[in-house]
Amino acid sequence: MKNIALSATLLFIAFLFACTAPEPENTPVHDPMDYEKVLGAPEAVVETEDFPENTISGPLAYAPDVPKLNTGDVVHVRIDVQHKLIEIKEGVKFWAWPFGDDVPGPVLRVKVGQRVIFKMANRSMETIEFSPPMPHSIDFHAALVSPSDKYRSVPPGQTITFEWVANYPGVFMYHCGTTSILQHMVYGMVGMTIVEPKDGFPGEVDREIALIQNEYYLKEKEDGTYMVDFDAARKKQPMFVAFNGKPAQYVQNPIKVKAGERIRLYLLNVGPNDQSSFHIVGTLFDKVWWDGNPVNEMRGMQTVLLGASSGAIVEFTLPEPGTYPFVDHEFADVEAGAVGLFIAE
Amino acid sequence: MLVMLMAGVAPSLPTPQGKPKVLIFLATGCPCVFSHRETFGSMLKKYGSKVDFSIVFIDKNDDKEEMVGMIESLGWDIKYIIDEDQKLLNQYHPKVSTDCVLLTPAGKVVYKGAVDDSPLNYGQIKEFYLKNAIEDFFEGRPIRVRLGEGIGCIINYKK
Repeated sequence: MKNIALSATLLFIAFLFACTAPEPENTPVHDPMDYEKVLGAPEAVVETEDFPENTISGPLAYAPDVPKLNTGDVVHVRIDVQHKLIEIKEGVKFWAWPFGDDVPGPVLRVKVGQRVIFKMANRSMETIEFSPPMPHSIDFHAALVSPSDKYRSVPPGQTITFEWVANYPGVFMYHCGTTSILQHMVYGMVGMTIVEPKDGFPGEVDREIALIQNEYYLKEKEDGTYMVDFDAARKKQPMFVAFNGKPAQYVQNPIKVKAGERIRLYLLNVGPNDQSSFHIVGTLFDKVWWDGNPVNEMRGMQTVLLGASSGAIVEFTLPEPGTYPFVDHEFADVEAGAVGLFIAE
Repeated sequence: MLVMLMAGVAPSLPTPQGKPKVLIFLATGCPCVFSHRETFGSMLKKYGSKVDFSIVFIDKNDDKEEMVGMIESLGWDIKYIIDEDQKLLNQYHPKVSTDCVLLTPAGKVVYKGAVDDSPLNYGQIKEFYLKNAIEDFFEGRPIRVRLGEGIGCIINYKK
């Protein structure tokens, strides 16, 4: 009986001690975005210069290729604008206004903390006989700067230079911001910027691929060439929806990968009007970084919903050899060309 | 209703007697005019009975289907002129497409340039150049701005 009483007393004391014991101190949560951001940049300069031979230079590549990072704190990037007859599908040519040489424009890759010294010439007067030269501009979603300064319209024949610092990691859009913005975008003035975290994206992958989805609003002319159909653009009725500028190009020319290798896909829907429900048949996205920022991680997703100008990074493996279609799962867009194939060997 | 006129009909353009005239110079391949769709459209409605408005298409590559399509897209009720020989261009010397001129009934240019300054201000209109010029004309006041700098497509003048 004494033992029982002693045990009960000890238990009571232990309970009291537990109730009155000091709580452990809160462990500070590390915020990966808690670093100093660089806001603003020196005023942009617009001037006349002799244009170089190439329209682009810097850490740039046309999707699906992903450019390599430049080392150093300062990165010089040049993307000129021209008016150019491009063929987006056999027999479908129209006068586009690309950044660089193609639609979409080149993928730019930088990392957090790098200062981008950007230069863009408006070369639209070089084809004055075929396409009216006009002002153009560029709007980097990755930058924190005054648009009324850096994103100002540049007259034909002139060059703008401005700076911005990459503050946030992610997959971002760039586009022309000159009115009518819709019209400039449907003429192809769109592209992707990848910003890596300061220490790189977490985890190892075997392969990197960039996919940019865009819509084309065209109509056929009597002579068989095509022109932009602005009415269709305003009504959101695209003639084509494409990955990397050419509708259904990866059906006849699939992207070849290895079964089991880990793939990192940089995704961007540049619109300009519609959303994308990106899906790969036969696999799941092991990781999804919303807007390309590893802080915004989701796991095991089947489809990534991207509004116009939204980006994402998805990582996945194709489990065994085979053919794996990738689509915008809004199937009207598949009919319009938003479809391709991965061949896993 | 769309009415097509050919430029160069002597002496210049058929004009209703006693009305001032507005010519806006456009090319179908140049979207800059869409920045002025509402401003110019509202002027057509407000002053259409008192001012003779016309579009002047200036690009030799334009075809009729594109011209009519552009006017329909703009939603304007306005007649148009095809300036095949650049007679009107050489007469009035607009700098860019979307530039316009306001002419007195006697044919004197009292305003030349942009419809407004919205393309310079992300759509915000700080200067209603053409509308102000029309109002000044009807009020008998001096035109407050006679030359408004615009953003548009460079015009390909024949040499």
